[in-house]
Amino acid sequence: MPGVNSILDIGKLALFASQSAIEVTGNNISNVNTPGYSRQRVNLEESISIDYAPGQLGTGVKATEVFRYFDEFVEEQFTVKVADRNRWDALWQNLRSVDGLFNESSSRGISSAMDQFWNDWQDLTSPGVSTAKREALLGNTRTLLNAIHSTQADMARMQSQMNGFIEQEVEEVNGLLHDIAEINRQINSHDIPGQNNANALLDRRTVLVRELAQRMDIDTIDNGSGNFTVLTKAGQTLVDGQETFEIKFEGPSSTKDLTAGSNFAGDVYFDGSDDFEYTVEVVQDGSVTSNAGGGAALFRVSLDGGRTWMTDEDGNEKHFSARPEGEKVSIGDLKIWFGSETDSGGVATGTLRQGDTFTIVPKEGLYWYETTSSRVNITPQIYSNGADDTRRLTGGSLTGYFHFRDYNVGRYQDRLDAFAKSLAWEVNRLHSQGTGEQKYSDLTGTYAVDSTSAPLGSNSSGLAFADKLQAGNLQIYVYDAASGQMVSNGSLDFGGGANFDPEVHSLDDVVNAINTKFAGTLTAEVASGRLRIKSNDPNNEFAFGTDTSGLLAGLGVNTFFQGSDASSLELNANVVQDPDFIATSHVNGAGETNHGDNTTAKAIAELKDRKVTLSTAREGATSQTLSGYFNNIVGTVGADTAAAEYNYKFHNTLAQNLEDRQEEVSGVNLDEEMGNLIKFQHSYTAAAKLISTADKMLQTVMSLKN
Amino acid sequence: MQSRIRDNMHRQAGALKVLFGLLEEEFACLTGRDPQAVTGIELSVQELLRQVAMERVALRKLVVATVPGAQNMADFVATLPQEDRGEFERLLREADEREQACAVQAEKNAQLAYALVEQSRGMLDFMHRQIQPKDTTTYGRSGRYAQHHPQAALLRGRL
Repeated sequence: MPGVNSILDIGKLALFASQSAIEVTGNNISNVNTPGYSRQRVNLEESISIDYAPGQLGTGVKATEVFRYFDEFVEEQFTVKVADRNRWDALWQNLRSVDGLFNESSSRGISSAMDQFWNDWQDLTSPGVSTAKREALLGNTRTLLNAIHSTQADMARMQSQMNGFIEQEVEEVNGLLHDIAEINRQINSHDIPGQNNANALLDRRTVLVRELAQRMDIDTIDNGSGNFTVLTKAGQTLVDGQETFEIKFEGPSSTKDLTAGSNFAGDVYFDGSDDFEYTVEVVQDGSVTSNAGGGAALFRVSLDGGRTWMTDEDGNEKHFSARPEGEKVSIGDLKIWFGSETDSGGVATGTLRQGDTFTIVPKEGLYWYETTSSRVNITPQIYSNGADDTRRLTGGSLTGYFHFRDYNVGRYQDRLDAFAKSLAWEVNRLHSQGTGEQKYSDLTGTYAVDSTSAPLGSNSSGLAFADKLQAGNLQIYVYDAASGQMVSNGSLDFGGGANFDPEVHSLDDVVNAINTKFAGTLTAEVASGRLRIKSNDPNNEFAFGTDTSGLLAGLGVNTFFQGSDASSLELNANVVQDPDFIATSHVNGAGETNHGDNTTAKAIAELKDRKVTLSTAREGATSQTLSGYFNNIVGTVGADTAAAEYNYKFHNTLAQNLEDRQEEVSGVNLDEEMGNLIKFQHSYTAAAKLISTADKMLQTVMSLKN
Repeated sequence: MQSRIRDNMHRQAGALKVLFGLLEEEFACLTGRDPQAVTGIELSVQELLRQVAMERVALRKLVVATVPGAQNMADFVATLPQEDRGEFERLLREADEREQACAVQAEKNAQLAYALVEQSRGMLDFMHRQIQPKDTTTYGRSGRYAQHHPQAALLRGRL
């Protein structure tokens, strides 16, 4: 019932309300510089009114809740943009280092060393003292090889650095997921929407979600209080209320996905490592067999999740036979075979059916675990057309690190490997058909095979240049060391005068062909998978002539280089030990070695301007000069870096724009808070005055009895 | 006449260099979220483009006056003695490279400006959706209160 007492109540409520408002304003002012703090306000509501004469009389004010100013919609967009921004930021920051590496290489490293390499061969074509020129060639080739090795090693170091970054980020992500779940639990304990809002906890959760979004692309579903879900953009749940799921950074592995009718009882196995995932899909029914005649299942391989399939140099889709461990198939950087489900060397039974698919991840990847036994590969992946695989992570610094490691540096490494491989092959192809100042009495090739009985041109031979071999033959000449007179010569005989066929003949066949043709003069044998040829008579020596098959270069016999990629490419030990083995001349039609003709040196020097075939497993074949190809790598790195920089600036601007908008809503404005402070102080003073007025009124009433 | 053509090309090359600088500055203003500055730069860009266009019209007239029937600078350069061609070819190449750089930068600026507009529009659309009545057919065309079945229903009417 209204009266003087109710005025006291009204004053008391007003006093409390103003006090709360001053407290909240004070909290806003004190948190003006706190990251992630959203300004708060007290929601003031008019208290109930009582029907009375002369009419309804109010009963004061109610401070119903303390709420925070926060725009959920802007925040949702902001987390998306932050993920994009950090992806490009991580990529750009790291690509700058690679760009520096290649720019340096183009001016002082590989490019200039290669120019010098061609010049040295050119020098060897002119008459003069050749020993000094040979030494100069070896010295400058070492410089070129060092430049290639150091570039490759620097890139490998950067990849390994990325693994460290990823590992750290994954640990932080899992920590953040647990923190968010814990805050959800606390919010559930404290939050009563519209009455007791857990503003500080909500702010803290927002900060954690932002931190998570910097590392990976996420979606959130907020159903109020602690009923808050975080998912990857691809849909994997990370936090569901108080429950968390883990992501893990794990080593190489393979998975199989058999068709409904398949009775295949086995698994795929691999050797080696690569930056790309291999999708193996069976295209023709069959078994796993070493029978070269047929019956083996055929499969194709994709390096971009099944979007495009590997092709040969003519652009035709490559098909491989399913082989057991003894005949591993070389594909890209891996050797692949099929074994039993438990033993890589075991026998795989059953039949592979068309559509059976195996996925090989020959590198450390990122996996999402729903339960302890189920895992989903969420390693970021880019298709060959440059589009993201949206079933995987596509944002955040984790994606940037993975793309840098696999798509960017992985591609550059593949191209540098292709460059080194092509340099070795093209030079060796010419060099192996030439002669130096000296001939050989005992020579071992540098390229080994895995299987001495497998056809040299097949994927199972293990030969680095298996795909380069052609049907044809080669000439060997044997001389008397003292007189220089030719003792014997001829091409190899693969049975009835047949030529070498890479699809049929193995290393054992090559050994037999040499032993048959040069019986009593030369002896060929297999030494640790390599071809060894030696003269039977210590007074004889031998040299090589025209080779239409590529066998000499393929087996590393009489070559200038050994090794087949950027990290293994070296000078052949023979030419290093004795520069006289550098082949500058050739054996003419009469079997004479003319040391002054320099035909081979000329041919190698002319390689500088000749287009050659270079190919990578992912990008296929291209025909360019070696210098042009290397300059293209430098150009690609520059373009990728510029694109990453632009994308970072682009997404950063949009993210900043959204952050500004959120700040406009939830940021603390000190001027506004000061105004509010004065306003609420006056309210407080007035409420106090109201109480003292009511008190005086009571005094007046009390004094009436006197 | 030849020197006037050369001067004109030098002016164009200079203008394109300035244009590229302005476009880069515009990009910096966009990334710095300073729309007022963007407006000022855009006015300068437009004025510079107008001047470049005028220079080009003048150049065409000079070229036609020098080599009647010439379609472009290449036709003019072809009539020069070999020793004089080098400078013109260099100027043409420079102008072309700068023009391409300007085009790329302008495209970047346009993409960023468009993305910012799209972002604002997205938020505006969201706000519109929030303030619009969810149910837009509360009253039917006949003025009767419409019956709604917000959930999917296989059967209608009384059972």
